[in-house]
Amino acid sequence: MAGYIARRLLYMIFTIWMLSIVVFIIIQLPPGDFLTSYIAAIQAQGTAVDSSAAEALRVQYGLDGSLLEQYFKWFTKFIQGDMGRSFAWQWRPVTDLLRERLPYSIMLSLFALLFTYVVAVPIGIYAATHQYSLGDYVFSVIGFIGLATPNFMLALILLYAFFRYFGISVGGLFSPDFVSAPWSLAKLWDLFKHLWIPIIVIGMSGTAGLIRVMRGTLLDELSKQYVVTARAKGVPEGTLLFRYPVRVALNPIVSAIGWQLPRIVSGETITAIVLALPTTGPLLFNALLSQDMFMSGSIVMLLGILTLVGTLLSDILLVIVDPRIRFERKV
Amino acid sequence: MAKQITRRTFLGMSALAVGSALAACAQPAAPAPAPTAAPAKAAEPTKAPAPAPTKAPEPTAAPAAKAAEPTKAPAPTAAAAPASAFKEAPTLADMVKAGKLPPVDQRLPKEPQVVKTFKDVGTYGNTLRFGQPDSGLWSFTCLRCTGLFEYDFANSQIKMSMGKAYKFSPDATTFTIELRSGQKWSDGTPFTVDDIMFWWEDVENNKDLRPSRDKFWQAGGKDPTFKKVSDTVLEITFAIPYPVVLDRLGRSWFSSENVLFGPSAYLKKYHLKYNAKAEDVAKEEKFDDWKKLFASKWDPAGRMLVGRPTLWPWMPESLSTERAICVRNPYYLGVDQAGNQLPYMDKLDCQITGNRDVLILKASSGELDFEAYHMNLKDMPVFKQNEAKGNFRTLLPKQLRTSDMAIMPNRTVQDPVLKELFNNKDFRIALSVAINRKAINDALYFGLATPYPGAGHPGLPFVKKEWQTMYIEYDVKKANDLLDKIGLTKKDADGYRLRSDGKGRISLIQEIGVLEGPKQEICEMVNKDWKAVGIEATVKVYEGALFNQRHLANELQMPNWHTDRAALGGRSNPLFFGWDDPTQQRWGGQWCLWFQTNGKEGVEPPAEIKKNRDDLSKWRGTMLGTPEFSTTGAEFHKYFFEEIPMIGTVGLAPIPMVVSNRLMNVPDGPDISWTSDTNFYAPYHPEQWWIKA
Repeated sequence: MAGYIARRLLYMIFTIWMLSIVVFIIIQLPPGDFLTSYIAAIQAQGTAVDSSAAEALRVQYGLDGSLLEQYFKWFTKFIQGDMGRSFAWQWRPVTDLLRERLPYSIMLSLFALLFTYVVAVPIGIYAATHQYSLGDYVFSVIGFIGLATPNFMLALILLYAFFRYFGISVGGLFSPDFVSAPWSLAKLWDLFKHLWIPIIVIGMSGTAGLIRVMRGTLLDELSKQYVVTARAKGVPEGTLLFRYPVRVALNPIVSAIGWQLPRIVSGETITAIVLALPTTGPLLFNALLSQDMFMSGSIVMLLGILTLVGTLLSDILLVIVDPRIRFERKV
Repeated sequence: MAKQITRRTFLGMSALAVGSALAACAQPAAPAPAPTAAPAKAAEPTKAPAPAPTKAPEPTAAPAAKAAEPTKAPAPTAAAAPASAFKEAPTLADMVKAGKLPPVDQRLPKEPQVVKTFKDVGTYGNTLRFGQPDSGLWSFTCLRCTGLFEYDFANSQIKMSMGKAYKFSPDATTFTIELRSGQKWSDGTPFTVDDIMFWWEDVENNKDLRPSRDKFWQAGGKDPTFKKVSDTVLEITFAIPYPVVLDRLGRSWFSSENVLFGPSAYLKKYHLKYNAKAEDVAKEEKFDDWKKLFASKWDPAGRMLVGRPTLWPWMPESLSTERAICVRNPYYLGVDQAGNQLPYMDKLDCQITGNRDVLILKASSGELDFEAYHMNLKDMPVFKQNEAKGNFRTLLPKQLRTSDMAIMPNRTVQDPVLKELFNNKDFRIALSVAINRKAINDALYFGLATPYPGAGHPGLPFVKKEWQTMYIEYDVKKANDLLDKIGLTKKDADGYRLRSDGKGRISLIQEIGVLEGPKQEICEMVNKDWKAVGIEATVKVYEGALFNQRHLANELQMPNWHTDRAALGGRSNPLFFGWDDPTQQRWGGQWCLWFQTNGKEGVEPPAEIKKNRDDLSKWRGTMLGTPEFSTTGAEFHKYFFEEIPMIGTVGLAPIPMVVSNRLMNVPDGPDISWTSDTNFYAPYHPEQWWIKA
């Protein structure tokens, strides 16, 4: 196992390097650079930037070198942990900006994930064990509605409802008075008051899919011979259900856990934009729009690396959960 | 000078008059009651000291005797009265007491800028709640920006703001600026001509920082000379008469920090010329080289660099991805007519919402005290519905742009058939009179806009009444007649007119690269009107940078824009009214390129365009308010009305300005306007706003 992990880590270094090239190319794909979009934005604001002044800006922003040169500068810095500075955010270091937003992203995504599991897994088990009952149909319908409603739509509806009937805007994670206040119990309470809406909105969409996966795989297992045998031998129904088929049915969910890792960093960007959540999603979105290349490049790189780590993690988890899986088979 | 003394004497007298009342107030910041505000006429001249451009700046101003005056003049007899003529915020008074800050009269210049409050004299304190959708912070920056000069609401006059006076030499080649003696940066270091010289010599003329130069300053193709006469007097001499420099500096942004000057004492440690170790500092702060480090200190996009000295009324305190907070600048040079140092409000708190819709929601639920730049007329119903509940009012200042969406047929378009049509005046007139502007105004602007040509602003003194309605009447028959007259008589089965080269119907594309205002909707309505006269047209929306790129490559047919350079403020940077910059000359980009490259690139323009360019430089060479200003201006602007290179739709539309009912002194009434240029908040003077708790 250790050798396997070491080998995977070695591959990862190579993949990260390839990734950096792809990321850099993708970020440079749109026409122009930060400056052209900055100039376009300034023009929209009614100011003109003389073409000669633009040239001066280009040098200042370090956008005058060749692409290869720019890539090299960026990548060597990145692997040293220096993600560069954000043009759009007053030249603040990208790491500072991420540090500000990442905790909220992680917290929100973890809660949403927890919400998804807590809601979906029991419902999935119930639906599988009570197949074609009224409860199964009701949960399925609700699940499908949840699946079919885009998150941002739900967010918009909630925004509207809260504004229309309670006269408050739901945007953000804190009331205005608390945003820049130091941490306190009151602030924590305020956070929890705001937190549940995004958690439900973000968690909702995953719920439906997970219910279906859980229900499907569990149904497959329930009809298998070992279940019938165990039942025939008189194993109590509850013990039987949770000791074997549920554990097996969790496999697809466990193998997908790795993919949750990047989602934790930039999950649900659109919802976050609509609800004005201070997470990394909108940061990445705006960075891509304004071609703030160090910012967007670094976040996309980070996401790529997290995906790699996540895949590795879920592979290892699978082995732990399901002993049937082995790495090497010596015949 | 006489005016200054009048004001001092007046201040002294009024202070005496209300002396006992003031003395009775324990707090030094207590607002002076109405009596001081009422006869404020005397204070006004300082606010607008230079209506006549020839007024001498009195370089010898502020002699010793006068300098001592501010402290002496009021000298109230009551024991409890403050020792200074000026009063300050309680928080600052506490700091003075604690010895952390010098007294107010040492912080203010010898002659502070007196800003007459819009209504009452305010009280100190409180925080303005403001919002921005993104990290651009443009509106927030403009809210704080004050320059040496400013335009008035009507954009027809340039007044002094932070600066003291200016003067042109009789031939208008030399421009003299006088600063206020004793003005200080927010860290207490003096603001002098050296700060301007620093910009000119060490930034603008530094080859490392500016490999190519801003052409505006190179009047007549030559660098001007900047001469420091004294700490407060600067002389700029141009190679040619250049009165238009004032038009530019009047836009406060251009006569303010980071553009015309910077805090040189603070910046020198980042500049290689003054600090041999600047490269080390850059490495330490993780910048590639000193140039980038310097740029980050000189020109951060939103002017939110904490710790960088400023002259503006509020200075940055903190910036996160959710919040930008600014606190009062204890050294701000402005006082109200009662001698209270401005600004009134302690803090500006700007939420960064991440998107515009949340901002609108926050504004309409009364969670913001002030919001305008990002508001749109189409949001008006939401505001009106929630005014009472959210406890705010919605003002409607008129924008100066004469057309919110002007159609700009590219006269050098690649398609030869279209090029011929676009260069045919009758075709342009037909396109114009086919548009039902009243319908656009009613449908998209609640009838609050004005149908207007895409040409000069009615506030320019020489814009004739009859010009303002030229070719904008809705006349389908006339449009059809004109199109038939041109020879576009053949139509296909769907009723569309056919191209002369037999390649199907005439099909136009209206391109938009900026979505401010309902541009796309206007284009759709125009397309429908054109369909009625047999012209097919579609609309295409581009991302801003791509729009610019394709325009430069001459790949656009009708690169539409708003005519925001139609008023006086546009004379210094006329964009599509001028021939300086091919990136911005939307309807004649290739002609503009030809001028720029002295005929090497681009397309040679016809005689009428060459004449128009000459007319513009003649106009730009005249001094504001002179008869020549009007005659040359009329000659230049006539082209845009009579030849309609830019087809206007509707303009002079209001922008909703959401103002909380607790926010006082925000100018109101029929005269307020929205300049849409760099300094739209300047005439509103946010430093004299106050919050009624």
